[in-house]
Amino acid sequence: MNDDALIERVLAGDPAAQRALYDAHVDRVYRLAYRFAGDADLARDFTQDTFIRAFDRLGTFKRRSSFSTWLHSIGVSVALNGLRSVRRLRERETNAIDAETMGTARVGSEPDLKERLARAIDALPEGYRTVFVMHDVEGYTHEEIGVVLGIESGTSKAQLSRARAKLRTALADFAGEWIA
Amino acid sequence: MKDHGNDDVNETNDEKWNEALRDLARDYNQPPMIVPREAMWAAIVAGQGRSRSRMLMFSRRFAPLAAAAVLVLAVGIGIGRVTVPRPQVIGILKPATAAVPEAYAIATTQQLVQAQALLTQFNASTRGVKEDEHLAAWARDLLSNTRLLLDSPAGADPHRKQLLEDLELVLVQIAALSPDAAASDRAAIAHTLDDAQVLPRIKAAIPTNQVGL
Repeated sequence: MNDDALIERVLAGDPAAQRALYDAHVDRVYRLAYRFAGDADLARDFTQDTFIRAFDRLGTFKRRSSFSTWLHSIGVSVALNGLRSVRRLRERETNAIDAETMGTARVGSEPDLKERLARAIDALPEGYRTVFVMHDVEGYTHEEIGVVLGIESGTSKAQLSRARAKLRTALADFAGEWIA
Repeated sequence: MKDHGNDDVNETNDEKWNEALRDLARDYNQPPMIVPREAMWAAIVAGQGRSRSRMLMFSRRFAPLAAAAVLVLAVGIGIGRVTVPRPQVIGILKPATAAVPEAYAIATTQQLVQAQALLTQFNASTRGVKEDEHLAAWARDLLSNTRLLLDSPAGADPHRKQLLEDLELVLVQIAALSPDAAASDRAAIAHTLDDAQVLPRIKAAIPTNQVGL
């Protein structure tokens, strides 16, 4: 049964159809949430919240895009908003810890390339990071990204290009061994 | 005059770089192979119709901020167990009554299946830092959903409510396990489990066709 038929049944009050719709899409939503969050608990929270919102608002789904795209729009919005809240909390915690441990920090060993890349991706501006993760990590097309994020596909391409440039700068000292 | 040779070299380097970047980035925040479908579904069913803030209130992410609240809750539950007369433990839980909508009954069953797995692992586990951390994180997951279920129509059935409350107490204790927890902490959990017959009651409450969920 396709998404449209399932949606009709969900709207008619069929809980089995709701579960079928969930089963059809949950893996990809969770996967993207995990890529954004890097944390199993947060990915679960974001995925759950995405489906709760989607089911609550299913009656407003106008079918101008596929259900998957609509669902992913909600998912990305939930994840980004959630991460902003978490970031604020972490900043407060970090500030408190920094104040306590000031002067005791030690220099760590040089991180390896993947670790350095992960940190550099984390440090990208939100828009760049979102497009980079969706395109280069998860394989979404610029057209899909455009619809999900509500931007032009050209904007997605430009943001990807800037994200890559920033990452290249951040990893400049690894460049020789990397593309040799 | 423009040096097309250099342009080609630069373009090739860019392509190589982008390709190498994509390859490396595939490991960025690599999701686990197994998606926790059932656990998320139980939370979704329990959380539908509730506000988002309510859903996130017990978020595990905010566990550090809620740690004090959990302690207070544990103490409160403990006091309640001591001061409020309890009915005799019932060996077999009655099936869901008509008062509990089917969706909540399903969500409760799924929650109990997961709780059974956790408690079985707890009983079988030997003391170890990694293991305790794993069990504590797992218990925190289940704790939030258990509370949501208690607040939902699933908590309307008195037998079911009693079981969820007893499960809540055990989960609070397991969630508080830490690497430096005393052996007496584990003994206290084992005592609660035995005293309230939590595991046998959970097993009895899970319909036989749901055991493999």
